[in-house]
Amino acid sequence: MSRINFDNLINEHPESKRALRELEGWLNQHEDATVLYPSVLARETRIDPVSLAVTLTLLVKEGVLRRVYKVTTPNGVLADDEFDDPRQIPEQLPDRRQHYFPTAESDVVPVFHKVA
Amino acid sequence: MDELLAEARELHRRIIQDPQRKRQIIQEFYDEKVKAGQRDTAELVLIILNIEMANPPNNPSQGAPKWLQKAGIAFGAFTLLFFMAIVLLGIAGREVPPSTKFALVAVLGLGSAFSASAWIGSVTLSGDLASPKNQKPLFVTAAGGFATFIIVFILGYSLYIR
Repeated sequence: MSRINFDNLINEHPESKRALRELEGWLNQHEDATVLYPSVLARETRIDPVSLAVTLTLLVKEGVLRRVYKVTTPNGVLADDEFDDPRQIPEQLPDRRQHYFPTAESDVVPVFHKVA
Repeated sequence: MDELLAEARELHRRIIQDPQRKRQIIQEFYDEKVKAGQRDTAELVLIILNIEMANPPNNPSQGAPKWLQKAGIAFGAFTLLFFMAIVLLGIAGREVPPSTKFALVAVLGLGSAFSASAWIGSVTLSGDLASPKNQKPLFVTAAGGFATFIIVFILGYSLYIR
């Protein structure tokens, strides 16, 4: 897989230079990662939550990432279903063993897919 | 920027107050923002909310100051040197008087506690240990340096003083 380079993006958005460099470094260290979790990125980079959110949103707008929403099952893992809009999340969803669980108390988790 | 953080924390507060409606609260928030033409804000706030819920800013393990580990190493080294000196003195024929054994165990316990508090969060010890007051098995569970002190002190008392 080719190395990720955000130089052009940094030229266009110098205000996000530090966060973009951090993310670029993380992505190059995790070349196999096709899905990005903001909570993991926050733990493994030195980007503050607001800058990370802004930068991920910027990468979505630039077509580098695609955002979807997932929900956690009662076991704390993410259910397979993905939604483009959190309002589409239904009252019940199947977990990984196809048992339906109520989503009322589930976490709504923004997840980012790398766009090939 | 600060407004986004404030909005995420306000949303988090609303969820904590009514966790059984977590999904609905998030959906209502998102819907309000979209209707107000602030979809970007809603999406940013949901990312920040997710980060803050997964990595609470007041998480003790994240908030531990960097000097604490160095202090732990220093206390560990001091305790080690202290006991090495006692061993050397013992070899030279100057043994620890029986009346100071209690203080020695206390030094061992406190030294271990101060050094361990910088390294670990909790200690659990269970097994067939003789407790000071009776002979029933002892089970100990405590947290941090205090736990280390209690466990080392009881072990030292049981094995060295009694």
